[in-house]
Amino acid sequence: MEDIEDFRRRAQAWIRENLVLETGEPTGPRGAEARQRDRDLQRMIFDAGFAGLAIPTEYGGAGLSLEHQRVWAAEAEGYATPKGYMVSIGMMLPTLLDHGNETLKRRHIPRMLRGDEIWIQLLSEPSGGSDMAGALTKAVRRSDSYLINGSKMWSSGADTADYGMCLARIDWDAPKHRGLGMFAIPLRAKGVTIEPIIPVTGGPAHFFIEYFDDVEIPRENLIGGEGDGWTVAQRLLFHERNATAGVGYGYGLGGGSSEGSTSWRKDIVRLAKASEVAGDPATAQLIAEDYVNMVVARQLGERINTGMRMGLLQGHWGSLLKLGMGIDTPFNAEVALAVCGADGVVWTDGEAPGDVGLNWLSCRGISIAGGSNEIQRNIVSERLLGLPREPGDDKSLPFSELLKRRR
Amino acid sequence: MRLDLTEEQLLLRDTARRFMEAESPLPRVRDQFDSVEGFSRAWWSKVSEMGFTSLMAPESLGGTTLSGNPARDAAIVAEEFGRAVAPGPFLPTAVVLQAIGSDDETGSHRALVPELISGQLMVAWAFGEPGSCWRPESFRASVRVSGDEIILNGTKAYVEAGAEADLTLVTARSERGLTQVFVPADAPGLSVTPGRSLDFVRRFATLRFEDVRLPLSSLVGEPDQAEKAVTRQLQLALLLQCAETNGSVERAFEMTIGYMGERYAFGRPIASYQALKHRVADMALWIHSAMATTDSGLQAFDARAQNAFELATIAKTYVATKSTQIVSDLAQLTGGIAMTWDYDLHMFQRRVAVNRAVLGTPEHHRLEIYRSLCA
Repeated sequence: MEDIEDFRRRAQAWIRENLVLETGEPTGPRGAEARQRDRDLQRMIFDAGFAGLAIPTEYGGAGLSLEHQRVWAAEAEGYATPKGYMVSIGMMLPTLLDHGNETLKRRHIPRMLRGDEIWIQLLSEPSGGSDMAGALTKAVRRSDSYLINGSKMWSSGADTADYGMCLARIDWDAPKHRGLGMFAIPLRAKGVTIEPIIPVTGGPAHFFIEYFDDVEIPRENLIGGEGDGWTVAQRLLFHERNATAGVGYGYGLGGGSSEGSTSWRKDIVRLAKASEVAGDPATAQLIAEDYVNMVVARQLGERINTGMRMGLLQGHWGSLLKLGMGIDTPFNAEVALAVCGADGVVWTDGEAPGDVGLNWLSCRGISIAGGSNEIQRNIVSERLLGLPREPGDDKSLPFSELLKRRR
Repeated sequence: MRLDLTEEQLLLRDTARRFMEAESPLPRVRDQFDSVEGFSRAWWSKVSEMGFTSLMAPESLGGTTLSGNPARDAAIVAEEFGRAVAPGPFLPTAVVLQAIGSDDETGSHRALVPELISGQLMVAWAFGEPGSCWRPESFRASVRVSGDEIILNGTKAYVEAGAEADLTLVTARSERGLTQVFVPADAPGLSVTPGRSLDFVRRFATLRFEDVRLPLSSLVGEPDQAEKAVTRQLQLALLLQCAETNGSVERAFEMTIGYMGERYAFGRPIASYQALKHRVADMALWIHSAMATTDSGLQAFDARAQNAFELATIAKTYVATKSTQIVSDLAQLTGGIAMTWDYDLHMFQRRVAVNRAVLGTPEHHRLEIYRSLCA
């Protein structure tokens, strides 16, 4: 394997030659033009051999390691890199790598890495998110295909994605976690309807609801075996938490505590200085606490990253980071409300609404999405600390029995 | 605790842990509660024989460089002091060694180092002042140079092992800055009022200086020029204090997790109740965060990074805030037994509460951080 310092020099040279410095584009949903730029950029990186650094070469990756990925991310910091691949490359791709059959892997992973194909997850449903294994979407096996019916919700980027990994129930008499399968569903297939969900801010949709009406997909699109759906889903959630927290395969793809949050905190200080609260010691305490939390979150991310890279930490450490984000973000939004007072929530006609109020409205996104704080707390206490589960019979009863309890 | 410890550092940690378990188990710490000093000279000699006091000393003066990052090495030992809530002036010794080692100008106190690391010479650092004052800008204790003499006046409070020390490093204001001097315990004009603390074995004294006259050779560094050195000492002290707190919190946490698995209520271990284990999960997050920020601070200190001071105050703020919250809630998770003298949890609570306040509360440091954010 290529020496890490040799790689650093090679990456550095290529980045300086080929990438441009970040100009500070606004975050949030991206227009068609920006997305095309992302795709072009991803292809360029792929063609140069820098996409999928930790992915084996037989699937189009570079066959290097997560350490190389970390070095790449460090060298590319400050440069414009393709946005919008965290889910596809940081979460879906490693899940497919872990559980997909050879046909699927060889066909799709190179396309994902090249940016030609974008994958998303289809896990939560209108009837449940945290209890994901209670999925009601149906998969019926036919001779050489499956027929999918049902609906999925909260799928980010479904409007522009090509494939979705969909958790669906095959066996209704098996216990909840054992009757499931994971399916690769082409989102442009016949019978798929995708509708936007307008977020609480009233702004453009970034998550969607999908309806599947007799969608027929080939047999080989089953990821893992029949009955392995929950195992695959858990692996996917594991990669999701890691990517969200900026560790593992998702490193450098946009997760974790970013520079954006640094500038946001600096804004709070600027706002404080402009308002009556600047000299208020109680508000000063809040601002400093928020700032300290931000710095410490980044330090924790580095620590967990180091531990995972060295193999000293194994398993669900992304959950710890995700929980931290889910606690810090609402606190930060609350501090901003305190600092800005009326100016955070009242504005003049014709002016753009203030970020402070809207940020506060949407701050629970991170503490709910991708496994709520409560789910992360279960994972941390049970999987990292080894505390026992709450007793329950939902793991052993046939799912059809559980369904009878719903009203 | 760092995750990526070197072989030598791992050995140091294991050695320190075994040493504490053998030589300073909790019952022995309890035994010291009624003693005046909180520890014995014999104990301090043992600590010194283990080489723990030499980690912050320059190698040329008999110190031991383990990893080339002395503060990180010393923090490993500080953490074990915390796990054992062990007695002894580990922090003041490290700070004084730091002060002597960085006094390159005169180097006049280097002869003290062998005595210091062998445990024969006990030292203290007189920094804070009455009214929980930890801002050097607000210090009132003053030093002036008059001919070939130094004259020291004022009061220093919260001086760890101040009544036991043979020699005290005093940080005071002078005409154009900060000045540091060594004051022997028997200096005329020095009066020492011993004091106790919430901690079982950590004693703090108040030192009053009334026209204490010292020779010029007592100066540590140049007069008026001590600010940089004091900043380094404070960083080191804050970070070793954080490491110690982390050790205490970690052990109290382990104790409580163990208890929660054994204690049954309503037919199952209390560790299985989400209402409790969700709080435990938050604590795990905070404990790992506390270790991460302490380690980042130590790394910056050893590397003399530009933001080292900020990172040390951030570590103190975070660690101190979370530590008392955690150990207090651990008592809640434990239940009634945690309200008894015989149950050990309060030994850790005591150390943590003292560390929260000494060298500045998180509230104090947050105001400082806010000031620098606004600057």
